[in-house]
Amino acid sequence: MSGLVDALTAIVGAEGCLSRADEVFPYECDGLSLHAATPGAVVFPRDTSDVVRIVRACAEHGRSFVPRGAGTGLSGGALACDEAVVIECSRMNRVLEVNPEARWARVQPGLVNADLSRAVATHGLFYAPDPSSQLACTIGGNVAENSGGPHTLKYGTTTDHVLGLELVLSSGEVVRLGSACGVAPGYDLVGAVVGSEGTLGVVTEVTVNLEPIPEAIATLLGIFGDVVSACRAVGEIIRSGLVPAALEIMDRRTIEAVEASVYAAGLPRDAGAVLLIELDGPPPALERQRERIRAIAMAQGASRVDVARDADERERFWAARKGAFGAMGRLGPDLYVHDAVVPRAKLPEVIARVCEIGDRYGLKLSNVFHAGDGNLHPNISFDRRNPDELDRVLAAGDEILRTCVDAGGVITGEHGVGTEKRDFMELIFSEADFGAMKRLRRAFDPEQRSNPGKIFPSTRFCTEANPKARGYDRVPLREGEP
Amino acid sequence: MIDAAALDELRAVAGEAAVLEHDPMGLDGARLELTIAPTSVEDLAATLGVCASRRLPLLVRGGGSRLGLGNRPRGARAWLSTAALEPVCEVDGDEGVARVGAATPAADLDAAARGAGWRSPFETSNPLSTVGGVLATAASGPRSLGLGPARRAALGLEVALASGDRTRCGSRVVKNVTGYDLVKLYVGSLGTLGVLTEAWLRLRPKPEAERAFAGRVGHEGLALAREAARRSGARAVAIVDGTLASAISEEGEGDLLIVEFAGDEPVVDEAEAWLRTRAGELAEAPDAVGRLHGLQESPSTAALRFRISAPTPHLEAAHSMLRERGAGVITHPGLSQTLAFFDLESADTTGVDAAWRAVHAAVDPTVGAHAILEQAPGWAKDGRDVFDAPAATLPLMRTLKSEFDPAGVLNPGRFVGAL
Repeated sequence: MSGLVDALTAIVGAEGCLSRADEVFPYECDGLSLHAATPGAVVFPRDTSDVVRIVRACAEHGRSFVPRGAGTGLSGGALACDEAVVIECSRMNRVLEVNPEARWARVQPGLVNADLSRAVATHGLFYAPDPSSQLACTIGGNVAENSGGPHTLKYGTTTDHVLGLELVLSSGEVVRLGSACGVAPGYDLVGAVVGSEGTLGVVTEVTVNLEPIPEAIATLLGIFGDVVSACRAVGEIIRSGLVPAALEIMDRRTIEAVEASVYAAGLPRDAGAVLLIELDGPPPALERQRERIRAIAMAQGASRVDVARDADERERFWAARKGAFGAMGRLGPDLYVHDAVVPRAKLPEVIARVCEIGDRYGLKLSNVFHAGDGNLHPNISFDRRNPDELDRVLAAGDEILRTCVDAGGVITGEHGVGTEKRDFMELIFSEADFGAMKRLRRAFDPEQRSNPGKIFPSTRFCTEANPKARGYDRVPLREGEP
Repeated sequence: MIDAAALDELRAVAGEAAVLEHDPMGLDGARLELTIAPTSVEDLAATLGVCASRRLPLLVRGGGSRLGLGNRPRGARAWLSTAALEPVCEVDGDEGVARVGAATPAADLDAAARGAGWRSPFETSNPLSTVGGVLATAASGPRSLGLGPARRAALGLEVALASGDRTRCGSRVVKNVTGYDLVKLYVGSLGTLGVLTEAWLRLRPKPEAERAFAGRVGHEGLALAREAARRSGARAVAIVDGTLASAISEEGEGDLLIVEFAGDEPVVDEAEAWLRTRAGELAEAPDAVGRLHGLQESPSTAALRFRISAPTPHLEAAHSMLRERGAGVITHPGLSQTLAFFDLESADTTGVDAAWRAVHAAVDPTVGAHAILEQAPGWAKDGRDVFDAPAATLPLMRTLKSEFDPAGVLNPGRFVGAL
């Protein structure tokens, strides 16, 4: 490794290359702390040419590499399997160009998601995908995972907003894919790269389309006695043909955690669930839609439907929703955030089954999720110092995913497969299906050096990423942890 | 001629009745005397396996409504038709999705979606169009401004690969990042990576109100069209130059502006009120968008049809420049597209070369603009890539093609760079 570290240091300078064990330790995992792998080195390129040289140096030394944004991913997608070199993109964080007339922006991959919307707000525009981690996560990471967020329901996920990409292949070749007008002749290579979890190369530039800031926004809060009723309301809203900007559910345990935290928004602590509904568009339409949704929610058992009185209250509701994962730190020192999708009409029965699974395993399971997309996030709060509890967490997670697949769903809606779910892929795909995916992979990265050990069921890669294999329950807590 | 052993093997896997020898049927210079029309997906996949092992190149066809798209085929020996596959069409009205077979006519999908209180994500002007064909060609019409592109409608696909493998990607749910997004790769790939056999599609909500308007406008038409396309509820907006406009509306002179709004009643009311303040002479024209779609898709409109994509500000310049060079022009500002039509005075390359020169003069690749020659007589495609693809991405696309179709049996020569 030392020869490679010397080569990397020559490219990015000593301040841009970390290789000592204590330096690379913070990069051993992403937001999924159950999985970890120690990088061979961590480098901080400043531009595309740095990335090209880094990738070539890795090739010369037979080493893999892993592109990394902010490390907020929740599926182990940024893990450095096989002591790979982490290419950390935080120094490539500029907005390169904005075209307000054509409504696009060209940015570097390390740009923080929320900073892009801030940068274009003066033009009356915003960047629509808004993952809950948008204050930290980066556009490059969003591209890797095809990130969604609460407003996916109306605006779509990252793939619907990426017009073009600059990509450094594992050979070091730079290719520009797509175009600023959204279509380019030939195969939709942009569509193939978005959501490929960094396995097809390193994205070094992203051209995204921007949306006009809506004329008006209405935010409603439906109060329900239980989460199943809230799910039924969602099903009825979808069936009615209404397309709200967002339909988000928080269950009782989530509400309690949020209201006890700095994100408290005055949510009713006695509610079984709240349904956060956002509408946007021309004011005359919102008024009618608001009344239609209120009627549907009441018919499905809502005790009342509140409307945010002003922008401050709206922001409080959203801070509560987006801060919910953070607030769950109150429920336990560790949190396992699951991610699966089911047909929306199946939400009531699936959510009931998910709660039953949590209860049966004696776990603190809470739900805060993108109900409008059928995208569940069962969250299990636990203490990893308790090996028995870790076993139950993993077993419950396994059962939850199988339940979702049995209901016609899939194992991830926005977090990605990473190392976390690669061994669940066989629930969805056949050998022939994997064969087609491998054909794509080979076309971009024939030696599989870009982010190895992800997406495909595990073989030799990254055995240490498995929490049981690495004896996670025996990993000592870090200083300052409870 | 295809040898007897190959024919026997094809009949063994696809069935006697599915393998038809016939008089030559031509496409852009290719003359094929065999059509294989399997009646099941299993048979279709097995047919592909035989063709790959025998290196028997195929032209894949659905309803045949967009066969004109593509370069001249190279070495094709037989047609592979999806027409005899079962026309599956199951609409899930609770979910707003549909499971549809590749051979299902797009019109049947529309009817089934309407029956369940939804709308098809596709618009078609040709009754022959099939769902498989729409997806393989990523066909879009004027209403894609409101309906969205085909790539967004497809949630999941079943695809038979050249290897004979039946594969699946995506699913029936509306949000999904489980594995690579091969759906995006297959949509618009012109059947060169695999044969689409089934799709899960996202349907569109039924709008409460739909209203279309058309009328002649002056030089301000382009700017007005651009503004209209950015209004809430805009579903289709086009400006049609005067020479083509008479096929849609015989009244008046000058460019024809067509605007269609759809959505909640108050939104459509407000949009209409806005339109009337800006162009009071526009009349309601419920069939204008349908007629526009028919005009721009019809082979009889002109010998050559180019589709030019460019960012909005450049689109208007392209529109004007193409007009000055004698093209018939239809511009969809909301879609960042201009269609340019050229007639040919003689069957030689002089007119074709002149048309390409006019298009290249109007298209600035440095701003991401490009042009595709979507429709032309076969001889007019000689020696050209009708997709006019930039050389930079072709090596990657060639590698991709050879990974999915190593024997080169699926629509050889038809796609970008004669892949």
